[in-house]
Amino acid sequence: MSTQGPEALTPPLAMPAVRRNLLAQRGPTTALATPPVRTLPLLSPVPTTHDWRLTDLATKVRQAYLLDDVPWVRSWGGPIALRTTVTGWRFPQPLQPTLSPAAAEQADADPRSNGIPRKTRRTRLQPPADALLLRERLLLLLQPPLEHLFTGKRIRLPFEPFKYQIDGIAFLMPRHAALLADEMGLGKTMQTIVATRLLLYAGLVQRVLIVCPKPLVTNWGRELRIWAEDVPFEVIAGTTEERRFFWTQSPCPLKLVNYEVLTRDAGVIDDDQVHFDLVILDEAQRIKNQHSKTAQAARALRRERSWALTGTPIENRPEDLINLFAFIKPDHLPPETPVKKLPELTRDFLLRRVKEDVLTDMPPKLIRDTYVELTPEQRTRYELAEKEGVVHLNALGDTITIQHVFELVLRLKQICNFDPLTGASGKLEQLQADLMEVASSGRKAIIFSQWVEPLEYLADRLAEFGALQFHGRIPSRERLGVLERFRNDPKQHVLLMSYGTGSVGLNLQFANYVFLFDRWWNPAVEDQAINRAHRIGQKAPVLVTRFITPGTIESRICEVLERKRQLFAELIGQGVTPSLSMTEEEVFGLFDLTARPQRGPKAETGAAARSAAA
Amino acid sequence: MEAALHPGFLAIIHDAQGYQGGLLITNSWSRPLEFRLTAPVQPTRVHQVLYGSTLRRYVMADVIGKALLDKAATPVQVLFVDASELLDLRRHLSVPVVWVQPTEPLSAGVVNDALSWSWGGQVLRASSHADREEASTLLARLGDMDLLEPFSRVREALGEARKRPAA
Repeated sequence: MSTQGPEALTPPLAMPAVRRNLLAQRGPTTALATPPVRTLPLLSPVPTTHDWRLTDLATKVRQAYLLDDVPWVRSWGGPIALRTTVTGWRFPQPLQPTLSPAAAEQADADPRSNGIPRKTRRTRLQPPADALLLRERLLLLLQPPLEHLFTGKRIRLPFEPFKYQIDGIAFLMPRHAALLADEMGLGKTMQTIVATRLLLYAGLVQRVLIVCPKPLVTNWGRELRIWAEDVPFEVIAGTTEERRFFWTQSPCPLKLVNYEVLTRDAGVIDDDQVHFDLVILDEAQRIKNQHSKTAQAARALRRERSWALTGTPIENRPEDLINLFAFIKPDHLPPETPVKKLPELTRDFLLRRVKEDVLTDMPPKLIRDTYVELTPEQRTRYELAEKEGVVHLNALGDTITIQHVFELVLRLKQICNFDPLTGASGKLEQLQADLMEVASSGRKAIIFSQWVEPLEYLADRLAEFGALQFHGRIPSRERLGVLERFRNDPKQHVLLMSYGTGSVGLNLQFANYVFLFDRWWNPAVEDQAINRAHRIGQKAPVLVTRFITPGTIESRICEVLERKRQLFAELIGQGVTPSLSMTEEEVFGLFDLTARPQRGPKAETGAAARSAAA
Repeated sequence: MEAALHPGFLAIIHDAQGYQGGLLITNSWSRPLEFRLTAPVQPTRVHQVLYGSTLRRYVMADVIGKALLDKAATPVQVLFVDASELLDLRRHLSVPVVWVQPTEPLSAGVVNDALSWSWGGQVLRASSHADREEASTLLARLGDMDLLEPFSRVREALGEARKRPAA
């Protein structure tokens, strides 16, 4: 941009002759802007009877103070001239979302339309430590406070975000590598969508990919329509050719894909045309096995920014975190990274908040362990099965494997649920009594089990409470309808869910009761299940009932896991968690076994446990 | 359809390292479009003697302000400045220059005269009645923008540039 005004100066006539000569020798200068010549006649002439250059500068030139306008002396140039250099940048052109005239009018009329007074709080983006370029850092620092964007007609949000959510958005936006590990129910999806929306409007990203578990695609679509109504998105699905078009040709700025399709289309991803400015992995614990095809496909995505969302960044062992970072920031955490170094190395990329920290006014979550005695039929069956099982395991000698032990554990756990011959169940009797109270008060309850068969059996026995089922045997196309019925039909008081299908991503905050009919191997998975109901939007306390049959394998497993949970609580402040699944040694320790396998005793069994339980 | 409005915000910090200026040009949502900053200007004792009481105005407006505006590639329709001395930049510009006065009373700095007016809780001052009228028209298009806030961004960016000079 050019400015007005003269660019050069001719020595003014009113100037003493010696100075005019000096300036004439130097010639015109463009070093400095100059005052209008009209100001110069105001000068009082200085004596010309001595060599001005030899006089005391400080004393004589003070007469220039008589100037009341920009002084003429700047035309001297050379060592007297003041100069500066200018650097700077033009930034990517931001977009301005277009609002309908009615929406704009409404927003204009209400400067607090998002509920955020303009000057109450200013959340600014801070450059992350790994942003090395000054241009990049300044672009972040120069962004307006987030509250300004949410105020008035700028970025319309349907609800006022919580303070911690704005902090989360401010955490995500500047980062090329980020792990948002908020506890379930704090709104990771919403924070991610708003941060993505702001990046799109800032012109910092143009192509975004969100990868999520298949059951959550619908949920993401709904959340996108709520929190980013003006951002078009599409779901990568359909035939191979259709999916190839979505990957390589479609100009839509935001695409959604599930992990299964991502893995299936690994070949297409190799195409040079497939490149994203931002890739977001939801429920990112899906890639914690670094050798899985899912993890490999996720890491193969060409991308500028990598965000991962999970409520359980360390589900079983610290290596989970290292494997997540293989996607988030490749090569930042080598596999051999010492555990004690993890907090320091991940601090700038990881944000985790728990409800107790940020939602002080959220209804409480009350957990009660309900010890339910086995029925006589169950007790007889259980003791016989355990006795015979232990004898069988010991007879295996050093050929025994962890799978042998798991088979016995699973058989005993199933007996703890129901007697396989008579169907008798102490848990069911207690559950029916509890659900009578739930239904009579017009409330709703979610019941979790690790197996589908007990859920199907329970559906029959709990028909009077309008029990609905949501598990792997319910076709995907029917699941949304099940959830809608559970939400809207006052006669449907019970939802029967499997941990595998219902523990992540679903918003069921209209339910106030959660029953864990049997226990999962890993408390983190149980926490995810519980948090389907205990999340933002919940209006009443959530009562969680964990059924445990005393004197059985269930209570022994609970004791082991509870010890681990306490250890987790002690270490979470350091960002490191111990193994939450049971080690092979611990599994063998559940029984009085003399047999032991020949190989090493410390193998982690979480994956084996899950596969055995599936 | 109205042309896009791009206000400029020019702030200058003065400390032991000298005078340093930053110019932020935004869109009407206050999102950054362009940023320019100068190297620090450190007047010597000789300059202080030569320029006297006019030194500050000269350095800020003629040396730093003009250099920034010369380099800026994005045209501005109105220039907001954080110091009265920078009103002098109007001589080099064809758009209004408006001094956004601090909301905290500064008895020495705040001017209450016919060229000052209140807008959105802030006291503004232009260098002419015509500029005041034109600026008022443009301000109506900026909605409820907080005119002081962008200066804090500029100062923060200048501080960052000093900490990490390598671009």
